[in-house]
Amino acid sequence: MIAKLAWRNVWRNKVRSLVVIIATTLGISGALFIAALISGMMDKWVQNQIETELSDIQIHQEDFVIEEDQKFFFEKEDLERQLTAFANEIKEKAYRIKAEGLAMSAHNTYQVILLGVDPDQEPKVTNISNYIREGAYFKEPGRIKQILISQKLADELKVRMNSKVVINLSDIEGEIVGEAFKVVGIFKTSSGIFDESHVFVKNDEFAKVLKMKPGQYHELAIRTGEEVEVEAFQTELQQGLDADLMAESWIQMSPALKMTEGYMDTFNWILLSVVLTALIFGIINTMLMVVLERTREIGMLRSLGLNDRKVGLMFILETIYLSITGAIVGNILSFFLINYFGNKGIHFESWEEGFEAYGLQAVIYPILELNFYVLVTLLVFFTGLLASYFPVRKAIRLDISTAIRN
Amino acid sequence: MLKKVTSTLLFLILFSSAFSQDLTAVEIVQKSIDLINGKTNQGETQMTIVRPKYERTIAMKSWSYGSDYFMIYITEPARDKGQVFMKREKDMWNWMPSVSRMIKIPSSMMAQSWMGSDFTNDDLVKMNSLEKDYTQRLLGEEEVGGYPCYQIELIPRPESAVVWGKVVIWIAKGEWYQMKTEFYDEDMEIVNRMESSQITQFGDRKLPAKMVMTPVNKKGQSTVIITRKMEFDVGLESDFFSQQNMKKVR
Repeated sequence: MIAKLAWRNVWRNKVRSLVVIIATTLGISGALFIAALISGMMDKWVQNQIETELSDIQIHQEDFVIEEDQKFFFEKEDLERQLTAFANEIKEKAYRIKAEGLAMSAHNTYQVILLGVDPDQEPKVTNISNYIREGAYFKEPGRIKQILISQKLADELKVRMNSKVVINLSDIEGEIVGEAFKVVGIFKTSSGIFDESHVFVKNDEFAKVLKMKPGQYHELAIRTGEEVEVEAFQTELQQGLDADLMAESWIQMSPALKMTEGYMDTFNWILLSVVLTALIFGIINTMLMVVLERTREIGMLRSLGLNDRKVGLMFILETIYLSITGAIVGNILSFFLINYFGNKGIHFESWEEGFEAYGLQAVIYPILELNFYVLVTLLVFFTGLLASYFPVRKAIRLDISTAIRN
Repeated sequence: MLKKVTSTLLFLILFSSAFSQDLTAVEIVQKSIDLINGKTNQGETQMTIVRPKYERTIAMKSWSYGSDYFMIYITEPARDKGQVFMKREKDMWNWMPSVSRMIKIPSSMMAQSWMGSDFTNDDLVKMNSLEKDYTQRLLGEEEVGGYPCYQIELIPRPESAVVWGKVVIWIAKGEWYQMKTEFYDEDMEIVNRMESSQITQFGDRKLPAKMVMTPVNKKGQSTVIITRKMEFDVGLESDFFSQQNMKKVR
């Protein structure tokens, strides 16, 4: 009976209630949508870094992890033997030669990380080959060694397709060597930071420059199957490897990536609590108005024998109805919005450059986990409960005799 | 018969003399390099780095042995005084007395500018072998700074580790001073220009005392090197260029 009364009371002043409900709807759906946007952005970011740069797991010589010196390489044959036990979990893998060096042109010099890759195997692990803007992902071997550089680096060095880039670096004996490479492809990923600092060469050609023998590599990049839990697999893999080799998951290689994901979650909750706090005051204000308006009525009900608890309950319910209605409509609205844009993507092309400077993609596909909706609804419920405190207190403390005469 | 022999001889003499007068591009460049280096040399130099907003002058003493060894001792400014740079074959070291540290300059630092100038560490270390890395061609003759010069074009071989598209050098006829050098990128646009002037007597030979390196695209920026003193064939041995000696030289 009280519940029904409370629900009817909500609709006695339609305009006022609707204003509150609409405010809640907008607040909640806005917060949810922004949260989904941020989650979508972060998800894509992490996925991108895994696909273009980190892969799921990398294996190096332990010393190489500590000090990236070209002399700490491993033999492919040895590693392959140790990996046979993990054939089920490992979906794809690619061996690389990795060294830091200087890319020089007549105009400029840039410090870069050179990755010597196998043009057949590498595209199965990383997706750089999809980002080639000009030229090709390596060609048939020619007289001059081949190099892929990013658009950004090409601009910095003022070189283009078929230009010569001179690479200076130390070989495995510590001697400084200079070598001419010809630009056969130019790539552009969504990450400006990655682009600026990475170039790709063929691993057989690179091995000669560094004076390494065939079958010697610095890095093995592994993509695991979808169902494999990366962190657990890394532990297992590490136990199966010789002591001088080190397997690292992307989380270990880039703790900042994982941390940023965590920060963003926190940020989402902060955003939501700001919205809810603003709502509380709106609701309190409205409900105090309600109490003021119905002073006589409350006095009447109480003098007729409705006890304080029931009067209180009536106002509590009214407040909750008011807020939860908005929350539910907001949830539904944002659910459809998020799904719609989740499929279609939101395009931020005009800010592409800024986004890419942070390694983010300019098209965002918002996503939100279902439990977030449930949690938000619960939170709104408690917000309503909290907000009802002041109006209820006011209603109960009314002096009946003055209330009726008012 | 005799007549025939004489005419042949005459022809041979004429031919050979003509040949000896017409130097090839390679020989001209080699002569100019020999002139600058000598077998060993020792000198005092001053380098002024000109930037749009400031100027900085560094004074130094230098010792060198062929093109594989050199040592530089900084005498000015006071802040950098005592720093020593040494090149031994392909390696370069830096001794910093203020922190008592000897650093082997890693490959990653080789392309950084040397003491903030328009020269890089790499410029100091790497003397690209002219014969191995470039094809050389005599373009003609032109007057530079009052000296008739041979104009020689150096084109790097495609697989050589040279960043330039071409290098053009003007070498004074008979004197072998490198009066002017221009560095071009692969599109044959000029990048750097180096000009020499103030021919001065140093020991047994005359050399330009002033060299100005100008990056063409960077306005108001240049590096001026002035040689104050220079002696040649001073009897240095390669063991002079050691890490122990880096800490001792003054």
